[in-house]
Amino acid sequence: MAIISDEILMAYADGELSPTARQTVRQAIAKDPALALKLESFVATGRLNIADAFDGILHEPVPARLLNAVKAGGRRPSRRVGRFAQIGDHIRRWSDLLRVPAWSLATVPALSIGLLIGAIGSWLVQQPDTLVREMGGRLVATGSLQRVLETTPSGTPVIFGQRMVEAESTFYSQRKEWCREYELAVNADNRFKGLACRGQDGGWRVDVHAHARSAAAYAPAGHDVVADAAEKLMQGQPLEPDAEKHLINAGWPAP
Amino acid sequence: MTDEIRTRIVELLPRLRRFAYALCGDLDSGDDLVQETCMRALSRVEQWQPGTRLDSWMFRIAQNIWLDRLRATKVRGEVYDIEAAEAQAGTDGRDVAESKMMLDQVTAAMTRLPADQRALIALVCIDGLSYKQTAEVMNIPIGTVMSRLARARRGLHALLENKAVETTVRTVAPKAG
Repeated sequence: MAIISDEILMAYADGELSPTARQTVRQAIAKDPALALKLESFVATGRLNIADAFDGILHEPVPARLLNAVKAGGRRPSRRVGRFAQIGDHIRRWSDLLRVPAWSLATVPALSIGLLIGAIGSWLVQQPDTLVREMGGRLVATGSLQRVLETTPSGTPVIFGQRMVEAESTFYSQRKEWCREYELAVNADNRFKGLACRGQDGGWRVDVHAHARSAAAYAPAGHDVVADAAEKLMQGQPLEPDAEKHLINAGWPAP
Repeated sequence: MTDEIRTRIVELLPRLRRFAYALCGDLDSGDDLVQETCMRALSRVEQWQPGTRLDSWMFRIAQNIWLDRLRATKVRGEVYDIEAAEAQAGTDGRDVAESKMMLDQVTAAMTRLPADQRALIALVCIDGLSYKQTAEVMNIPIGTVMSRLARARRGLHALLENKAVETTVRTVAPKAG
C-alpha cells in the first residue's frame, strides 16, 4: 500500500493533486481510518472552512486612508519634460474634466498621441460611414470599424466603398479587456493605425488612432505608436488564428 | 502605466486587507500594513514586471514589511500584548455571530503560530492561492511550502480543537523587555 505523507494528504484536502494521485489517496484513505482522521484536520483548516470567517472583510468598505495612499503613493514632482509630457498633462486635465480615469484616455505616455483623436475624430464623424463617435467622454468605434473589430479575423481586409478596414491582431490586455490593433485606409493619402479595446458594455473604445504617414510634424509614424502601446498593454501573446476565431464566434468572453 | 496600476491596486485592496488582517490579528494594524504596502509598492513600481501577477508581488511586499516589523518588535521585547489580544477578541465591530466566533478563534490561534506558518495559512487557506503561487510569493520551493504548511495546519487544528488553550494565551504576560 502506498505510504501517504501528511503533505500529500493535505494536498488532497486542498484539491492540489492530479487525478491519478487523488485516486491513490482516496483508496488509501478507504483502507486506513487513521489516515481519514488525519485528513479531517486538513479539511477543517482548509480553504472551505477557514476562509469563510475572513470573507466579511472583503465586503467592508475600504477605509479612505488606504484609497488615498494608493492615489498619492509614489507620486514624484514632475520629472518628465518636453512636448510629450505636456501632452500627457493635457490628457490628465482632460480626464479630470471628463471625470474618467486618466488611463482610459492615455494608458501610457506613448498614447499621448491619442490627443489626435479629437481632431481626426471630428473629421471622421463627417463621413457618411461614421467610424468613431464620442460617447460619455470616450471615443467608441462605430460603423464599419466597429463591425470589423467585432466580427472579422485578423489579417482579413474588408472593403467598404472606398475604404479598407483590417483588424491586425488580437490580444488580452492587462486591463482585462480584449484589444485589437487595426488599420484603416480612407483614401490613398489617409491611412491610420489604431488600437481599440472592448469594454464591458461590448463597445470598442478607441485608445489610439494615429495617422500612419508622418506627413504632419506632430504625427510620428502611426505604426510605432500603436505597436508600442499594444506592447505595453499586452498580457501574454497575441492570439493565434484558431483561438481568435473561436473568441469571435463565442462573442468575446473573458479568458 | 502607474495610473493603471493604481486602479488595479485599488481592486486588490479588499484582498490585501484580508491578508493583512490574517497576519496581524486586528484590523487597525492590518490596515497600517496595507497602507505601508501600497506606499512601498508605488514607490518602486518599476520593479514589478508587467505580465507577472500583481497580487503575488503585493502580497510579497506586505509579508516582508510584516516580517520586518515582527523582528523589530522582538528586539524591543514586546512579544505579546495583552491589551491588543483582548481588543482583537471582540471589539472590531463585526456582528455576524457565528463567523465572528470562528474568526476570533482562528485569529487567536494564528497568533500562536510561528510567523512563516501564519503567512502560509493566510495565503493558502484564507486567500486561496495555489501552492505554486504561494511558493512564488514567499520565494521558497513548493516542497517547503507543503511541509511548513502541513505543520502549520496540524498546529492550527490542535489549537482550534483545544479552545481552552486559547484563554490561557491571553493571560500570558509579556516578556520583560
